Amino acid sequence: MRRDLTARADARNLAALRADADVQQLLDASHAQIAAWVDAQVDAAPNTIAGLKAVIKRALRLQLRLMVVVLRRMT
Amino acid sequence: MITFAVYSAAGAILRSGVCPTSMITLQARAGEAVVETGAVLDDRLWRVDVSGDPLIVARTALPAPSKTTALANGVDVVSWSGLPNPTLVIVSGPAAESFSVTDGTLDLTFDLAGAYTVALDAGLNHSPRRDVINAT
Repeated sequence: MRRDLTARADARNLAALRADADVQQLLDASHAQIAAWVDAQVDAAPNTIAGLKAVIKRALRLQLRLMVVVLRRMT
Repeated sequence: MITFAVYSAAGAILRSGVCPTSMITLQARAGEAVVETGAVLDDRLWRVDVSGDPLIVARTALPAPSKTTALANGVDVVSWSGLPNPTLVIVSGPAAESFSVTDGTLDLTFDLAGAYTVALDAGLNHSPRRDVINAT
């Protein structure tokens, strides 16, 4: 018999996350490199509250996406 | 000292070990039986033929897959042929499925890259098999 395996949604999400350039950079990085990356993102932001908010939102969205994928795989 | 195997009514080896000769009958619990063996036995490789006097026999190996790497394109096929009927298949990895093969052949395709573990179980007469297929 033939079975065409279809990956689970969370596996697809994880694969998509791994393909994300920012996530790849984070996964390969040491803690010091991650800290330097965050500093660089903040330093590169326009010197306005809106610019800083954009950086914080981007970091939180990335973190939440990672957490959701991990939680879905655990449950 | 003596080596023994404790087995179920169907002949599955439940545990195997070494004990003083006088204690061999104490190894089996209710519903189990014990037999002397020449060595400590791996239950994945051996079973007890209970059709007559208990006899240790080897479990037959299941066939290997045609390959262990495949393209994750939904087209490239990894095959197992000559499987007993039925064979229970449990796939884990990016995809998770379990089903029975009843026509002797298993063809799998993969739509997402990753390491897939394919476990085959065809009952007591055959050794269970586990293959890891890397889809890229």
